[in-house]
Amino acid sequence: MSIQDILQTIINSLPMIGRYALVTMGIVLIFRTTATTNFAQGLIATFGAFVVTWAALQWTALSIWICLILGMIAGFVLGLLVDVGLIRRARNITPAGKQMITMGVMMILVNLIPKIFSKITLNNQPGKGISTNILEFSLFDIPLNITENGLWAFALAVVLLAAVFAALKYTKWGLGVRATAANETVAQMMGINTRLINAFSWGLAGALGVVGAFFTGIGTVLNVNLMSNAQVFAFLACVLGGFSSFPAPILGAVIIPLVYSFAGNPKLMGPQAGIWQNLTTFVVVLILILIFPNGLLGKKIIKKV
Amino acid sequence: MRNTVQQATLPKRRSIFRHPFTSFILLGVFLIALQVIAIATDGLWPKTSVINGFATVIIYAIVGFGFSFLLGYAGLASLGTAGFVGLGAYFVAYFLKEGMPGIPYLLVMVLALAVSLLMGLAVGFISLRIEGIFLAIVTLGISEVFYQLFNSWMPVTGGPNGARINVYPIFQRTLGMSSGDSKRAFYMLLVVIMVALMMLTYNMGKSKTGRAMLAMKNSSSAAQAMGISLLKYRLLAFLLSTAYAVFAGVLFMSYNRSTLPTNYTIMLSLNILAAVLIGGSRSLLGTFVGSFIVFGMTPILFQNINFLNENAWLINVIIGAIIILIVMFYPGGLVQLLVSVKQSLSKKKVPAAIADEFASSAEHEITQSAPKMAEISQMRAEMAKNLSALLSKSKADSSSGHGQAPKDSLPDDVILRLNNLSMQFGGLRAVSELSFDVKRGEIFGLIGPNGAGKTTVFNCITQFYKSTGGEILYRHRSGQVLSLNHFQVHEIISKGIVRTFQNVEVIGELSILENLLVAAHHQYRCNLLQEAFNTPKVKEEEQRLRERALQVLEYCGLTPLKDVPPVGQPYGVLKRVELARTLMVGANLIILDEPAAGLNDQETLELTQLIHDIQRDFDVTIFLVEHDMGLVMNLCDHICAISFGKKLAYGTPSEIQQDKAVQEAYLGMNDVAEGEGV
Amino acid sequence: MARMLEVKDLSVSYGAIDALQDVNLSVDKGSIVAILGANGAGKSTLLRTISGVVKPRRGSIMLDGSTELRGMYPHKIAGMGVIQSPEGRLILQGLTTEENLLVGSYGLKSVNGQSKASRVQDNLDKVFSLFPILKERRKQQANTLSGGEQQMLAIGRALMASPSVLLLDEPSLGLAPLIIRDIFLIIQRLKEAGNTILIVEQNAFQTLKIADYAYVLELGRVSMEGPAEELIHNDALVEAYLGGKKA
Repeated sequence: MSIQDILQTIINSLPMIGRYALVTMGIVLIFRTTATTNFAQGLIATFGAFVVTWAALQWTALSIWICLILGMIAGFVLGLLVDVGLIRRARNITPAGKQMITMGVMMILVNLIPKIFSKITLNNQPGKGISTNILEFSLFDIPLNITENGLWAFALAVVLLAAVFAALKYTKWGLGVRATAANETVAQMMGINTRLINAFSWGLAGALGVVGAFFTGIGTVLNVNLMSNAQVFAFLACVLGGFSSFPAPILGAVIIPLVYSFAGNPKLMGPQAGIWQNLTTFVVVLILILIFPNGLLGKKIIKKV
Repeated sequence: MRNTVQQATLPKRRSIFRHPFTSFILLGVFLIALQVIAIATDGLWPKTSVINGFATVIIYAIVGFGFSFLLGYAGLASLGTAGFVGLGAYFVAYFLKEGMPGIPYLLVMVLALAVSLLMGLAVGFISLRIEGIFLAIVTLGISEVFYQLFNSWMPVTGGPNGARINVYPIFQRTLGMSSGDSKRAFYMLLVVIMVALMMLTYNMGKSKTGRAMLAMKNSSSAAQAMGISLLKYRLLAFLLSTAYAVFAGVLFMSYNRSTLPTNYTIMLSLNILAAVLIGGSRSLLGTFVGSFIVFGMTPILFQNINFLNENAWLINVIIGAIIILIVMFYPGGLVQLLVSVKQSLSKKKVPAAIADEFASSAEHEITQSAPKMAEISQMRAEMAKNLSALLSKSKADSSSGHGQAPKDSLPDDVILRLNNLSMQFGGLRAVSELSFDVKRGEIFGLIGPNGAGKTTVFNCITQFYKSTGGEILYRHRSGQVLSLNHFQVHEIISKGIVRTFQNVEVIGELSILENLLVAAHHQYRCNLLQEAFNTPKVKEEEQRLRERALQVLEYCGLTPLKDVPPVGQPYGVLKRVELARTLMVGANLIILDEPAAGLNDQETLELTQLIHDIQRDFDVTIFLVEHDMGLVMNLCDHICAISFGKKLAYGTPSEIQQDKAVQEAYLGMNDVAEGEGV
Repeated sequence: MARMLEVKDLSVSYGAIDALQDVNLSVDKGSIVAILGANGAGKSTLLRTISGVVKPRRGSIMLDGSTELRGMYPHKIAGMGVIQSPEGRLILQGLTTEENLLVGSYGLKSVNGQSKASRVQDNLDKVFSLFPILKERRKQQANTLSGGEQQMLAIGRALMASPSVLLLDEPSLGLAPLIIRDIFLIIQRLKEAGNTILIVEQNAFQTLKIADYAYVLELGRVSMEGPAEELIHNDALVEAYLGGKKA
């Protein structure tokens, strides 16, 4: 493989990095504040993506970005509802129990979404949706390309995540989230309304996921299984990066698309690369996790008896 | 109320049917009858689709039985089921397809099981590196790998188009029956297999293996202290569940003769989870019902209801809603629901005798009950003669060779010696160069203010922590001297050392009697296969150890509560259960971690008496860590006081009481004498 | 004298265990009240119940004679100025020293024309002047501080909220004697500055030296109480700690 091939493969992974980072961020937010692994993350995101498309078809005068915001709001509300309406109300809930509630939500959504939005595909009209044109540019005199929507995906993800991390570090809300993630009881004793913080985390996670789902759906037929791969990979990203801090899983969300991209490159993996792409990625990621069971950035905690 | 004895019963099928096997067999008869009727009415009723529906329910119920080992018994999360089912199915598809040489079906099954064992082991080992939630995610990843394999490896699996075999194994392939007859015969075989598996699974669950897994799930610390190797039982749980899943996959392919990769996605794993949860994760019949609800309602009940036929999605939405509702309100599944309905219907009252005995003990004045206690103590001395004899037959096995120290490193009368023991956690020195001797047959106390490091010392001795410095020498009953640091946590009990826990670690999902049986775990000799078939040897062993447990319970005054789970019992009772556990194996050294913590005056007194009686009646040394000064001063022959991980003083109780350094450590520096005033 | 905090007939159970039974105590404004007792006596449970983290079975917790704290959410109780420095310090991981302090002032509001930001800054200055070492280490990750420094941080964090009642749970736990002496001096200064303090401790004599009134808890009940100066000379106290009266 030449330098161009390598660089191009890396560039090819950028849109996926952007999308997965958004979904992963959502999972991390929820996990660190409420100790729940949200199996419904992908589907909540998909729901929002459907709302975007529906809005775009319904009100054709509306800019696609407004529609995206509408979708994000839908994802926010749905995420919020799952927390406040279901998980909060459970009796004597264990972390495993919370996990299973999200699995139940997953089952409901996967069957409900196609019914609510029967026959929607993301139409791609020039000047309407986001164009899928291929942009060509060069880096160090090496010709490379990226699709326009792919660039948007990556750029928007970077902006959104930077905003979230900045908020975490510099705002009062961010302090509240980090305090809740460190020790919910102490945070409560210091006057932080952790219930509000948790609910907002669920909502924010939903909204971020919608952006990821939206870009995943561009140029394809929108279907309910849009984010099923992303869901699994996002989980694996969290395990790979390590759950010990907020940024760590994002590292996982960068590595997995890179592996995926290289795994699908025929020059590296042979002519059958496309067929085996998913499998190769899974295998490599699992091996990495086994080598680093606490995550690449994680630390082992000695359990006190 | 603290002293009210709650007679909560475990969800026992015994309360509904006399013996569970009866219900399994009845179920089997019912299922076969359906097929017989279908043959008789020439397919009019029940329709073929209904029979096929039941076949699906049976197959997934089998997966569920295996899964319940993982979830219900071992408490491990796994989402890899779908992949393993697919593995079994594709195994059959590959070896039985057109053009393959005639490999005997039985061999294919054996091969599939062999592969499943390998996979189960692999996942089991992975589970040791990765815990809880992360494990669930990794197993999810593994399942996805399988799905991708099934979907992509066209030459072997047929890719997205799926796989087919043309003949039904056994009946058509070997016996040459017609296609229709073979299918019907295979259905009957499925029923027979399922019932047989239910019985075997039931036996395994009720045996020491099932108890060990539950112990592991409820309290991994207690399990290890009782000799249960977490590694071994986790592996076993994974092995079993993987084997069942693969086996079910084999059966699936054999009955349906075709399959698609899309059958083996996360949705299948979630559906199995739902089925097990709905029924109640340890109930076999419950799992069958759960499987029926999740997999069977559509083909069996809703075939003729056009509305539901067209709106299959609605059924799945309802199933999802059921999962959520069950987790939210009835985590024990249908079984819990049934039990609570039963209880509210029959309004069981607590047997008066038990309530009185336990409730009134708290109100007695100390002076009033002194004669009663003396009586009990006397009775115990009597009981002990018999019990001692029983226990001496079960003395701990002598050491194999490793971990031994020279015989003369300990004087004859010393059973335990700490030599400059140190324990460091990162930058924190919890214990510093601690040394003391415990004499054989005495009651020894370790005291110190909060944070002094007592529990750390304790955990070092019992190998829950590996000390970072110094050594711990112990004289085994056989006379050998062992260096304890060479052993793992779960090996300690076999050396004759037993312990209790400060935060009472009892197994909530077992009865008190069964809690005691777990304590004798390492003395069981039968293996899993024997347990599955409930051989006479297994029955004999179980009987023998039950006898022993009953006697120990009698000694400790717990007989009325033997069949009750420890959950909800007064703290005094729980402490006694922990003590009773230590008596089960004829131990040499009993280590008690704050035995009086949380007890009131009366309970403390009774406990003191019990500890005293144990030392008197059995050939044991007792080492206790305690805060309650009254208990320590009354019971102990010698005391070592520590503070900040260092030894402050050693001596008899009165010497310690008068020791200035000890007083300071407990009460803070008394500067009043210097005239500083307030 | 004004009763800042009044606890009546408080009973708390954890399942079958009665952690507190019919506890009655009161804390006068501007005074230090000590709760003493051996481990497992229920001292921490008492503070956790006052802070709303644990729900009592029975009883009432009255703040300043007018507000019933029982049944309120923990963050609301903190909003009323009842702030705890918890047992074991419980420093928030992943946050710097300064951020830990700012968490303490999370619920502060602007008051009487003074903006919230200005109040936060005022409190921060006060805490830094009280504990200069924290100012030195303000940007460091809080879990890299020594035990004594973390205790100061926990107290400082509580002070950031301008508490009306300060609850201190075993501030001397795991600390070297010299550091304990410093901490107790600071607690005394806090009282002199007008704070109302309820302190839970095992370290009886040192605590009694700075307290006004004290209660001794044994197995969830108040077994002894009185002005600190009396208790400090009381032999019964020594016995309660080191055995003797029992059996």
